[in-house]
Amino acid sequence: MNLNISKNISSSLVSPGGSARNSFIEVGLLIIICVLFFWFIILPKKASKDLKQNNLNKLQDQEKTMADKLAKLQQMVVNLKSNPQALAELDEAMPLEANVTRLQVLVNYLAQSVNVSVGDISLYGKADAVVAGNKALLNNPYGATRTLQKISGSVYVVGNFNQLQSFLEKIEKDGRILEITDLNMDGASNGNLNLKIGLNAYYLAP
Amino acid sequence: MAQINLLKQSTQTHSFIDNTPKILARIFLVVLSLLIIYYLWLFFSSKSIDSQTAKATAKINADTQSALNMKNRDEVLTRQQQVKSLAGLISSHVYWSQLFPELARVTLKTASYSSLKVGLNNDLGLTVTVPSLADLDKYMQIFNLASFNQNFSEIRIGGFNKIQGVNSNSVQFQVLMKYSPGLIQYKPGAGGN
Repeated sequence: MNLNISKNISSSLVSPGGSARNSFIEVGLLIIICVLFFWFIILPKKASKDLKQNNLNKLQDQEKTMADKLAKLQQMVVNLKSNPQALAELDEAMPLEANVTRLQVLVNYLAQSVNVSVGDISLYGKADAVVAGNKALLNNPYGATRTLQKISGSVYVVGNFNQLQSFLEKIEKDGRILEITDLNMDGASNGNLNLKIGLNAYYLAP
Repeated sequence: MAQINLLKQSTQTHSFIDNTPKILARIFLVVLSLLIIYYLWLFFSSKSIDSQTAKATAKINADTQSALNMKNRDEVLTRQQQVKSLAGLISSHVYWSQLFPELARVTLKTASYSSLKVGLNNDLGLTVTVPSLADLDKYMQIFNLASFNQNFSEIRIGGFNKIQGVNSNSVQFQVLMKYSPGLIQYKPGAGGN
């Protein structure tokens, strides 16, 4: 009898499930590789990418904000230069120097403008404030860090009621912000009244 | 002599079992390939993000430097501080001259004031002179009327004394009262600035 047996029959006959088992092992290895690759390579990379994306989004927001601020600043500089009258009014309302004398002159002028007699003007600011000749400030007037500071004191005037009321209105409506803190009024000679007011004025200085 | 194929029947029996792992292997190979492609996409996306981040950082730095080096920047900031300080002061600015017309409105016609003392604590002190004790009582009663006590309240009387005049007598007394803070606040149309 002539038997024609193929060459690979020996392995199939010797171990019929051997090839299948190898393939299952291959599949198992592939699954392990896939899981390990996903877990240790893909997930960290994705987390890293997401973090970078978040940072980029924040940076882009910051970039936009910065660009807007820059544009606003540029516009402000343009506006600043185009409105000297407003700047003069601003400097009058909120001076950048501690000039008590100028304030005394102003109060005296307001009193004279309504014909009240000035008895006394007593105003004082910060004790060690440099009122003139600050070379550093003169060279770079806007470079210094400034804070809101106060000149306080009292003003004593004499006049009739209408004059005193006009004087109060002048102080209240002056371009320089003058704050009356207290007010005392009583009779004087010749039908006049004494008026004593507490006064605060403010300025921005280093 | 006829040839006998001993392999055929066995192959058919095990074909499904033999092929399943191969199919699974192919599927997982495809999955692995997709994972590799996904990883490559993540890698290049990450590189792209790095590049965009560098550009954004450079732009922010450039804008910051541009703002810091801008001419007149310090002046703008100082002016801004001036305006902010002013806004705070203006919002709390008071107008004492608005007190007098209202005080006159609620005062008895026969009464007169010889002194006035007032501060920001809402206390108002007055020295009042009236012709008689009956007028003193009337002076007080006015502040019980709703239309007259909107801005002045809590009236308290100090000691009073009779004053001997040339032609007539009068009564002088001290009054302490509270005034409404709104009375001296800015009123549009009242003449404030």
